[in-house]
Amino acid sequence: MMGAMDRIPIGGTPPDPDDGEHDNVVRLPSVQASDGVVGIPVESHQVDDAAVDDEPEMSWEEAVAADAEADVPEDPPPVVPGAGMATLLEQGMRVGAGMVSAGASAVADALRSTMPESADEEGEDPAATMAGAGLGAAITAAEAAAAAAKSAAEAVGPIMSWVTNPAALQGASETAAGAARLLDGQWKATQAETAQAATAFLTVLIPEITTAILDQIDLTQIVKERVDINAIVEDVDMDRIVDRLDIAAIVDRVDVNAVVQRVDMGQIVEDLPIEKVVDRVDVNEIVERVDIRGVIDRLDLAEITQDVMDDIDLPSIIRESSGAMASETVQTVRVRGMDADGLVSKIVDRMLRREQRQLEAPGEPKDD
Amino acid sequence: MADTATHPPTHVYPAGARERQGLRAGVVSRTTAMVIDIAYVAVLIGAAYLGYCAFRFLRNPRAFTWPVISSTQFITAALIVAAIALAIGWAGIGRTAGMRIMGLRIVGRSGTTLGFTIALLRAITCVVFPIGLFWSAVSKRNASVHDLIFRTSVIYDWQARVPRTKRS
Repeated sequence: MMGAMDRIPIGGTPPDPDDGEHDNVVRLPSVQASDGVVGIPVESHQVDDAAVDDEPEMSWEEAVAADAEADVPEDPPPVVPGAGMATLLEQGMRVGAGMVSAGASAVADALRSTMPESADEEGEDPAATMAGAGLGAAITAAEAAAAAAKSAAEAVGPIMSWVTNPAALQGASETAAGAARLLDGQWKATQAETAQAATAFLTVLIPEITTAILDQIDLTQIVKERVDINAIVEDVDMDRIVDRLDIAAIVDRVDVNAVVQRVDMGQIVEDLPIEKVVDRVDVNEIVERVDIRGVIDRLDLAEITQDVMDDIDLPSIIRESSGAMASETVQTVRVRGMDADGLVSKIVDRMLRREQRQLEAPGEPKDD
Repeated sequence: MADTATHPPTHVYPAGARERQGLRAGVVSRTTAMVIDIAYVAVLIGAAYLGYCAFRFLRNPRAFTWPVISSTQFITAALIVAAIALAIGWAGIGRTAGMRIMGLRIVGRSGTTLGFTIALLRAITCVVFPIGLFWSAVSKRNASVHDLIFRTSVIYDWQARVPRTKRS
């Protein structure tokens, strides 16, 4: 920061920014040589450019510092020691400043939105000016810090000149205001470039950081522990989802035959509680629904009866049943006759005081 | 008329009937069989009368008149028809129509079916002196007068088939 401050002519009118000789903006070689797109991918290219364009852009202080660093300043070494590190540092600072600038821009916009509209109309935006000044100082400090890394001697001289300059004590307020405007201008001049560098850096950095973070995090476990899936599902309008689904198209894409072929129907039937199903069937209700009259009307009862009669030997049945009836009647008469025979014989025998009769008839074995 | 041919060969007897198979029958069964036989003979006489009328009608229809039969002629015809019917029944299958219904059978002294001559003589005796049947109520062997004369026996035999082989 001190290296950058020595370039501000404190107490005097701010020089024309367009004046190349008295430009207070420290133009680092990489910035001037670049085509406006500064980013990490082109870092090596910038380093080469810095090496080539270093000497013409050096001020006398830088030349002194370069002389202090190198024994033979006229013959630039093939590789400047610390130049790569300085470039990296510069790029890092630039990226940091870009990130800060993005945040500062947002802050400035926010501040501006809180101010009355009249302030915008005047063209003087104190908030923006101060923010830009701060950022300009920051980026200048960054650039200076990078330069300071390259040359420590370069930083000593300006500090002393600034301290010994009696003009610094005069018109301090004007100088401060002018310095603020100058810094703002410096910031605006390099705003796009710095923001672009920061954007390019973040474009590469953010995915890397995100991937590294995600590798360390078990998102599934976090979701399980932290997310109330049920609450989310309850808020989901399933009806709307279903309405938007083209069920017919989905069904058309399903090979039903293949699905059916994979189904073990035998196992399904074995697992079916047929008895429970049958118990739940109301047979009476089914019968009530049947048009029995219609069924009967469609039957040829005469033909069915004829077939039944043909299959049944009805005369034989009548004959057997009548024969059985006659047989039973005859047996009854015979038994009654036997009983009557016995009764009469007993009465007669009792009257005649005779013992049992000899009723054995002559049979085949014996012959009387 | 009972068709005893419908009876199974191995008869299923009611209680008490099997033990009395082969024993001499009493007066009640035999009298019942005789009444049935009388009715049977009456039917035969009536059929014979109608047959005779039909014969006369066919021979001279214009001169046909119902033949008038005297009581003497009727009784004589009845006795003749009865005697013949009884003789044929006894000699043929050992039983008349009435005896078949009542499950009776007549056997000779050796337990065999009667010969036609004996059967005819016994039938004539029965027709002439039917009251001799009631002696079976008194007889110690349930024998009627005709049985005593011809040494026959009337037994309970519900079997339809008649053993013919044992003829003395």
